[in-house]
Amino acid sequence: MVRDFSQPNVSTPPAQAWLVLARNPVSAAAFFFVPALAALAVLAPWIAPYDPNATDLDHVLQGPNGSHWFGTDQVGRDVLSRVLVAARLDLAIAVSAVLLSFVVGTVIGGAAALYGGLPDRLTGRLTDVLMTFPLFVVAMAMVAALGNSIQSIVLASALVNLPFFVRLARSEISVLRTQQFVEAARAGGNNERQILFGFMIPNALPMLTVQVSTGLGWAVLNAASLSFIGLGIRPPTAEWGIMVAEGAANILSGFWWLAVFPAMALTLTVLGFNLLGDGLRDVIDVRTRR
Amino acid sequence: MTDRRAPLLEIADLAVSFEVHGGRVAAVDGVSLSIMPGETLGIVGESGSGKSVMAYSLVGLLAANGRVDRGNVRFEGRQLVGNRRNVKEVRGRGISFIFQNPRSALNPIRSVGDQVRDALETAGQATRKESARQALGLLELVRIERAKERFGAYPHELSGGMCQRVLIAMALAAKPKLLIADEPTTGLDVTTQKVIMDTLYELSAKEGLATLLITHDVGLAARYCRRIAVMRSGKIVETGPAKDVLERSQNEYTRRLVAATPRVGRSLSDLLPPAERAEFARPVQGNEPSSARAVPLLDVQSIRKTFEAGRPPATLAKLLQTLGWSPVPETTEHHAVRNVSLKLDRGSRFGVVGESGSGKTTLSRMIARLLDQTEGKITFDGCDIGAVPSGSFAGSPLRHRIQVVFQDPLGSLNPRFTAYEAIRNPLRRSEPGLPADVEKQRIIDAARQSGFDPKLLNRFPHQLSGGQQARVGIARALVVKPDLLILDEPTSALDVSVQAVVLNQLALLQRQLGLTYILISHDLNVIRLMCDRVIVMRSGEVVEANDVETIFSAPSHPYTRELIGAIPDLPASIVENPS
Repeated sequence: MVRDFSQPNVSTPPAQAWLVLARNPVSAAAFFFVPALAALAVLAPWIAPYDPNATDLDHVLQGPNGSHWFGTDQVGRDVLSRVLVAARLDLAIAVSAVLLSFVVGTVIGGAAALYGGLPDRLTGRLTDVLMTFPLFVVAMAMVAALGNSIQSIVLASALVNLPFFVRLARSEISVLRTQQFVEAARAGGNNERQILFGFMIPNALPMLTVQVSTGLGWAVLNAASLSFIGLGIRPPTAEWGIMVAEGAANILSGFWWLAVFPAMALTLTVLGFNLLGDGLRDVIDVRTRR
Repeated sequence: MTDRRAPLLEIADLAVSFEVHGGRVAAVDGVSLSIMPGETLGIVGESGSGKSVMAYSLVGLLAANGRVDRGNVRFEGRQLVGNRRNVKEVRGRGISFIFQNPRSALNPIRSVGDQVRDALETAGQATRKESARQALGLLELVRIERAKERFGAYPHELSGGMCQRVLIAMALAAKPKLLIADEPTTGLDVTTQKVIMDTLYELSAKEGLATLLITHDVGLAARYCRRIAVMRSGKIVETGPAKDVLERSQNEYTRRLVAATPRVGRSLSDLLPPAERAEFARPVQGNEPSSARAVPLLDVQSIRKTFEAGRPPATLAKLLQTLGWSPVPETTEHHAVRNVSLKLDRGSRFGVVGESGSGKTTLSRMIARLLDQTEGKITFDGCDIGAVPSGSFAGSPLRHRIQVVFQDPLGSLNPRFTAYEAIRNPLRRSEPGLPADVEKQRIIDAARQSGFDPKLLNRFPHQLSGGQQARVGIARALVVKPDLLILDEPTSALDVSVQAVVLNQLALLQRQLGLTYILISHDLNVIRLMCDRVIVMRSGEVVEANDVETIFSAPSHPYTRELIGAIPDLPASIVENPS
């Protein structure tokens, strides 16, 4: 098939998306896995075969079997139900943390790029400082200041993610600032606020979306790591980090399913978000287009 | 051809295609050509005609998704298609390349002298010991003045024209028999273009070097090539001696291409094929510019713009001083525009000519209130608009009366706006709260006026051709009914045939709407067709201001004369009417 060269290329973003998915089955898998995971998390209370917190002392520490696919734990709780319900909590923490850093980071980074000068240098140094804090230090500080709650974990995770969004938004906006269509917008009578919200942010969004997807992966991992060491969420709440922590003690005794299933859920989720990010980048970034 | 010598390069039925999503695109489709030793052949074609791809495919420089489908390429009798060893031996040694955008073709972190030495050593022409002397000789051969001093210079320290000469020196290092020059002067100023092309021409005569000049510029090919091949959609539509191709072509496309190239002695409508002329020749009723008003529309008085550069933050300077380091050099001032005054009456067509860096765009941005002047007064229709800072001019009721058509048709459109939204945006800003149907009608009218098919209004910029994008840019400026239109190189990114239509469209609009425009261009031929009065700018200053005919027939400033002399014009004898 020979395409007519004289006609402009009318490939649309959806068409580009299909092309990328067709060429890269791994990305395609992520594009379907992540929405499926989100659906599982939202519907978890109705899907879960058992009450995740109901103890059943007649059936403790059963291996995977027909009635308990992922087995049961020391007090007879169904591991499958707990893994499903935990997805809800972990994803909720990750989504709120990333959304928070996305919104705040875009505003700060965008403002830094627009105003330049001193505000720009100040935010630059501030993000540098912020990046030097390890997650666990920030989380402990938050817990000490705000109490051992989910909010502290969300805030800590958002704060650790913040510099990446500030930097990305700043670089995107400062590139866009010199684009001719921004000057054309100014000549068309748009004021600075209208240019920022009507022209710059919509054009920066695609790259920021990629960062959101990758950031979600990190945030899920962060939430699980913090609860693994006992910060934020406490037992008996169903949460992947806690379940891995509790199960890890039992692996040596042969009760591997307690830790392995939540750990697998965690791994797949992080992997899914990262692959989704890569796939989105391929769809958006014209440099990878052929 | 009565030449009995064997051709240096012989291409027979060459076809190249690229794999894209949805199939293969044929880029070169059955090209046959030959070049004799020492001959200069020009390949002329518009963008997308496959002329560059054809040249790259000769030595296997195709992108990963490209493929030579069929054909033979013989260089000095050796088959190059499908023979990697021959290609490798010929590449650089037999056939050398120079490219468009010379600065990016050089290694930025290595001095130009060393890069020429590298080329010499790679080609096995010299050992490390003697390469320096030979490299210096090559730099002198391509007429780099003070070559000794510039030997250790880095690419960023040299002008674009100098960089192109360095590239030519590197291409010559291996003593090739054929030099392929792919748009070697596109993006360079006309005076630089002349020097580069003269150098190439002399070299080919002196060294017996055959040259394949690939260009979109018919005038350039006509001036420097004895034989020309015209390419379109991957096919050669015509080959022959330059004079025949340009003067007596039987091919419709060639005639159209030649006609569309602006040159001396042609009117604006001559650029178009006869069948399309009627559309722009519509008589204009009423709407005569009311020149009765005594106040000029625009009055610019001794305007200046000075950029300060190289000043580090004050705190850093202090810190460096306390550390005992030499104080940072004083602020370097760059005078982009110095002391320019101009007056425009209603309905006038004003031209600004100058090479890159002459300050013409800076001047236009100040007039359009996109940039604050350092000094000077700008009065528009009796209002002192120069007193309004550019940052708050968006809210001024005068904003929509001064509109700009930008240089880069695609880059000046928001990629996330459809053509409709792009045109609607300034209308909403200047007249908020228009009823929906009135708004829609205004947008459709503006599109029609600009020659943009309203059916395409729901397309995004990347789904439009270059000419269509340019028209959206014009419609966007017209929709708010401006009095003054600033056209900043509106056609420099377009092919000549598209440029012909856009220029005619603009001229028609000017007559119909009684517009006043300032046309900024580096192309003197375009200025000549489109303007009544012209200023010539150089290093921020106006060197000459006069009406257009006087400037061309009796230029008073030496720089103006130099500019006019550098235009690669089609020979004046070719003033035929292709009808």
